[in-house]
Amino acid sequence: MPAAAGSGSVGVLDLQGGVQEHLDHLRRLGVPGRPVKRAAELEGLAGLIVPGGESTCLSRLLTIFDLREPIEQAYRGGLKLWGTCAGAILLARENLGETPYFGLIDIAVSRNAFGSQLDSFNRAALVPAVAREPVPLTFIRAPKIVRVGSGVRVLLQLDDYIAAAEDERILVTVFHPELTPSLAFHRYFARKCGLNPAGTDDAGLDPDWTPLSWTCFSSHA
Amino acid sequence: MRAMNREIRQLVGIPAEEIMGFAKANGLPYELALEVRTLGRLPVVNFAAGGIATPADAALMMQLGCDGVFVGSGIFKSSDPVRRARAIVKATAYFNDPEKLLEVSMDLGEPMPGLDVANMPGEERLAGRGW
Repeated sequence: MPAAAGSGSVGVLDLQGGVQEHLDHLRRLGVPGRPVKRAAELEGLAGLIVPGGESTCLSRLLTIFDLREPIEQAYRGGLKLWGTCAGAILLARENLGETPYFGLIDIAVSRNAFGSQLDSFNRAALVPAVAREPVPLTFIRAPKIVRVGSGVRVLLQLDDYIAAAEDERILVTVFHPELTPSLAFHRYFARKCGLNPAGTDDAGLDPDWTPLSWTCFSSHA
Repeated sequence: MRAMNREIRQLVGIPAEEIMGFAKANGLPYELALEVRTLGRLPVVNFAAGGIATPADAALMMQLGCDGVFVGSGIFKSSDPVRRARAIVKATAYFNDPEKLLEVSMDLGEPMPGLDVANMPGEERLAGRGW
């Protein structure tokens, strides 16, 4: 049964990658968030963030930890999904030159499409569906979305690639909103999950955020 | 790791006027001391490496507050590296789950042979910590 508006929490797949950074953004919005390491922890979630990290590593861990099927099952049961960077690669139906993993959203991605780590960059862009002001975007060895199917809406097109897209139940971004002070994409995803996050429709820049804010979620702080 | 945690706790607990002295005594920039004090941990990810031979070793380091572990010889000098690598990955992820730790620690074969610290002469020991 879908969660009622305002109830439910958002999980962050906690195997590898930017887990604590996402949890910190959710906390700043007042959205209950929790790390997900076990299938049982998917219970009662309105949404799940598949974070950035390394997509091959994440896919292997998802398989070793028996999480692939439970996530697919939860998705069929109404769980909303958001993949950032490597997470978007895992959710894509087509991964150019490689085997797709979940294949749940009708997009094609090209891995490491900008080049090496030296080609990582920051920029800002207006994403009208998400915020009425430009939001900062951080691309780290990012993939490009190079094709979207007919049921998929493009949220942000830049140069020769698509950087953000969504269908009814899945959001994909090739950049990392959790590594910027902007809460706008987390707010957008929380709303997509039927939750009521704090804030209006501005860029959602949190002046208290720093690149070290995530450390409050580390196990020993 | 325990020594580091102890010193971080100490830094968090001392009055503000003693931070400069602490920084001086530990050869640490004052600004970094302030940052560690605010965060209650190091401002960078901290990986444990060296001597990790069992899933329990990996889980212990995670419980002590490491952000991850690096394991080389502990895997490749064991009798069944594939199985041991898998077990150490699982133990690192489920470091707070005793049942999982027990499950992944079964039937791993022989670990990397090690030296008993108690039998090592004092001058060959890297540090006087431990048991």
